[in-house]
Amino acid sequence: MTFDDLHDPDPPRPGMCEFAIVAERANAIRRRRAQIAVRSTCVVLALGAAITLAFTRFDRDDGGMVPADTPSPTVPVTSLTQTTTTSPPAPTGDAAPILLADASLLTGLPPIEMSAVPIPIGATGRSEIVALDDGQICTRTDVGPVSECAPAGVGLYAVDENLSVTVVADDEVRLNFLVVGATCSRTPLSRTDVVVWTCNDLDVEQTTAEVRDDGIVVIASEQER
Amino acid sequence: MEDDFVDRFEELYGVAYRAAYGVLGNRHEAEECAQESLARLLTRWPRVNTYAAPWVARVSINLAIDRVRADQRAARLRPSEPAERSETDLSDRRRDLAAALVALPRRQREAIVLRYLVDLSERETAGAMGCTVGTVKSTVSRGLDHLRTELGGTWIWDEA
Repeated sequence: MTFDDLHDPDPPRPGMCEFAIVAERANAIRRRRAQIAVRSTCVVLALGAAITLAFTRFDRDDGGMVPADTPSPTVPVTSLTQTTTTSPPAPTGDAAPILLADASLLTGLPPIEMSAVPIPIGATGRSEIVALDDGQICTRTDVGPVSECAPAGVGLYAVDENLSVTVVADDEVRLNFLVVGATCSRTPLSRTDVVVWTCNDLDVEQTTAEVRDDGIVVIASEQER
Repeated sequence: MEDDFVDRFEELYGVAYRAAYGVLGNRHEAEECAQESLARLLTRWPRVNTYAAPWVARVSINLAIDRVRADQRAARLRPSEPAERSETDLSDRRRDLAAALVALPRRQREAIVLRYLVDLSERETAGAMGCTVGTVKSTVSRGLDHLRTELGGTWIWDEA
């Protein structure tokens, strides 16, 4: 047997019909490839979106990101808490406790950046924080004009909100509450580096703030100590 | 760009058909393989037009070998049917050749298919593969050595 035995003695001559079949098959192949490309792109985009979403949630869980328009949940705190890892510059000189009502300029941090939209404080929402054009940060209630303002550059101040004390601090301030009998909750505010602490059953006139050598600001109730 | 394809359609169709027919021995199936390989060639024409003949021969012979294997699998699943002796022999030979071609290195398989199944001359084979006649001779010789080992003495080998 030789290779010649394998040949077709009368091979067909291709014509227009065969060419049309080939062209149609080529188009079908191109369509399949296009579909595969589209599906692959969709899969890649979906994977990318899923990974991005996962990282976003991971960051949010870690306290790094907060949704822009949604108020952050209030975290109940009993007595002792501190926030971030960065120490603020500790003030020099007098480290004696001062009344929380006079706590403005306590830490000397850079101006607190806030949005122009007033931020409600506490569960009632009757009080809110607003930032003025000159950098001041003020709290106001729905029953009166601006009640308390912190000048630009202040990292910590306190305001008496009816029956509770609200402490507004730069997120870098490490607050440590030494308060017995009071319930404090921490609320990180969206689009700002500000943290609002709201403590019930606390008299702002009886509460002091003290910056310790390690940079931690201790909020304590004189009556309970 | 695809005008070149139209111009060379008949030539390349013949290459693909003869390559497939060599291992299939069936006109209809060989035409199927030729049309599929030509369609694939058309979708890649800008990239492979400089070596279209060996490319389409390789694709066509691979499609044909796939069909042989599929037939073998199907034959194992169904009861054996009586067939005329000479027809069975030729089919067996083609099947053996397909199996032996699969075992060859790609260049040797291309050279054997173009030279003996497509029935090109050595000069034409060299032109299609983009190499010299001497390279074709040596490649074909090595390929035939492999085939002799695989297929034994029932074939009459002609390297002329």
